Amino acid sequence: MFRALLSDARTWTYIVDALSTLVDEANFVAKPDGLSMRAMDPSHVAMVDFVLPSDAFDEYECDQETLLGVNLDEMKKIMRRARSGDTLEMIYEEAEKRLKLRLRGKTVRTFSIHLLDITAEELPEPSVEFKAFAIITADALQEAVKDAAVTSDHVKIVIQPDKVTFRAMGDLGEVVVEMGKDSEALLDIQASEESAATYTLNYLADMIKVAKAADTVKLQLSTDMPLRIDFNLPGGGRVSYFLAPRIEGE
Amino acid sequence: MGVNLRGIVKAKEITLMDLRGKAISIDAYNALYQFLAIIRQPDGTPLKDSQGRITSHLSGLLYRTVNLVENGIKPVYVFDGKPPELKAMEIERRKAVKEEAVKKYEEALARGDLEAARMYAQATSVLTEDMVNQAKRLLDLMGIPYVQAPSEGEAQAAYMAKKGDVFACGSQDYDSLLFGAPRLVRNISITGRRKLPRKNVYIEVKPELIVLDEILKDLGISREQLIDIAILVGTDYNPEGIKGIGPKKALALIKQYGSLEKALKHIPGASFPVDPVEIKEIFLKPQVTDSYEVKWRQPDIEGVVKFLCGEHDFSESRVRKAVEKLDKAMKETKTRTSLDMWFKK
Repeated sequence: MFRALLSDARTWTYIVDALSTLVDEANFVAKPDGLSMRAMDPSHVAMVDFVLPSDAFDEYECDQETLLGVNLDEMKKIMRRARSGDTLEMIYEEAEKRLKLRLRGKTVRTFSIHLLDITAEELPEPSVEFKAFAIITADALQEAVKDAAVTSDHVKIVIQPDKVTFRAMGDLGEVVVEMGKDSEALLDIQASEESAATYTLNYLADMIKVAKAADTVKLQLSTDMPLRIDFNLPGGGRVSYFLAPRIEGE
Repeated sequence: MGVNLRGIVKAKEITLMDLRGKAISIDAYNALYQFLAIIRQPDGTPLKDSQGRITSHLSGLLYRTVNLVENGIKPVYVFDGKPPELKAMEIERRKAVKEEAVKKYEEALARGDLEAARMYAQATSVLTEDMVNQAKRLLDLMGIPYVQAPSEGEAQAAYMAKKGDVFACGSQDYDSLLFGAPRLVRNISITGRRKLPRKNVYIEVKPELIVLDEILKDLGISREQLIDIAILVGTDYNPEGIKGIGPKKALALIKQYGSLEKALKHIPGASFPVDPVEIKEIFLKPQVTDSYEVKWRQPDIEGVVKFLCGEHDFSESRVRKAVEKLDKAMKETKTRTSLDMWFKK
């Protein structure tokens, strides 16, 4: 059996929004120690790795590992109905292969969705040795991605020992966003060597949607290697993304 | 022609975007024949240059390939080699069908029925050696790789997919599944709006993906049994199949009796033009080669223009625009990576 309660339903709204940008259908894995999902977009450019441990929920019961295959667009539509102040209770109805989402506010609203049998291979984590990381505020990342999109469809992220730079070059101009050690947006930084790689903004724009649910974000990369972005959710849990780089020229 | 498994094989509708970043081996003859059939004037006349040489196949190859690369797909064309001897009958049959179609086309033209003329014209297409060589030359200039199969192209394409050099085979025929291709994409070279023959109705043709493991699991059979079913229905090596047996009936028979050999004992009057065991061998142990290279290059823009516009009277502005798009899309494709490169094997 599986039952979980979140005192703020909107946390789940943001999570589902973030997951649904990459995949249409995927399995949540409910285990006694928490809920997780790992999925890759069809073109294998990006991967999401989501974990919400049992103690991040206000109530959590799960006696054995259970796969909950869902259509994320369906779930997103339901969660769009959540109102500020609503609590969310998720209940798995084993006999009917359904997941109930109960929003409790001024009224009690129960939405049921049919679970899907999704055959997906178990995804390993990409093996990358990261040479640099930067922890910045989630809204600073959001703004930097939007700034870069003014001129280009991709952005080069450079992490040096003392600053992180977002550089976007378009046909008509260039955008440079810098966060140095004196910047309020930069909370921590470390680089064993200057590391830089270019990423597609489309994907980054989707990934930062979850920034609404997080305060800070950790960026990790190595030159011409995938980017790892970790959003730590308040109350425990995280949404991590891996994004494959663009490699210019031959 | 290929085997017809439509009734029992489930396909998933996909979009070209779902194939972004993936290499697809495309059955070249299948694609070129489709271009020859479809790219025609209203009365059924194919495109021709000033010397009267047919150019429909080159037009289709250029614009369709550019479209695929713009969607992030990396095409590699696979050309048929020498057909297996068992195919002689099918080749004769196709020749007869074409001769019949030419007759009907000319009759329809003579009585001024353009609609019928166009329909029959589609079945008259002949792909000559010259046309195949022109197609290869165009691919070279476009920077698109092609592979010369020793025998059946579908077998070679399936082999490349099995090895992981390409993600899927692209063809209208289901034969590559019989040859063991893990994935088949249909409608890849003809996506878009298509007019139904004899009707003023347009349908939207969308690509579809068929995953071999999934259909075998779904049908509860092995690949060998799928081949058995195909032989009952009719393959290129026994085009007639067995009278009265379609895909559904064949599936039921093979599931009931386990194999072709056993099922045949229960089908009175079943006969084959060639030994069915030999047909099975072709699908299970086809002639394929490892000597091929799959590499995408930037197109030779001036080369394509000189070839298509200088030699075959294509419109220079249209060709130049298309090849410039290809050049841009190819650069973009080369810069894109996928996470697969970082998964430990």
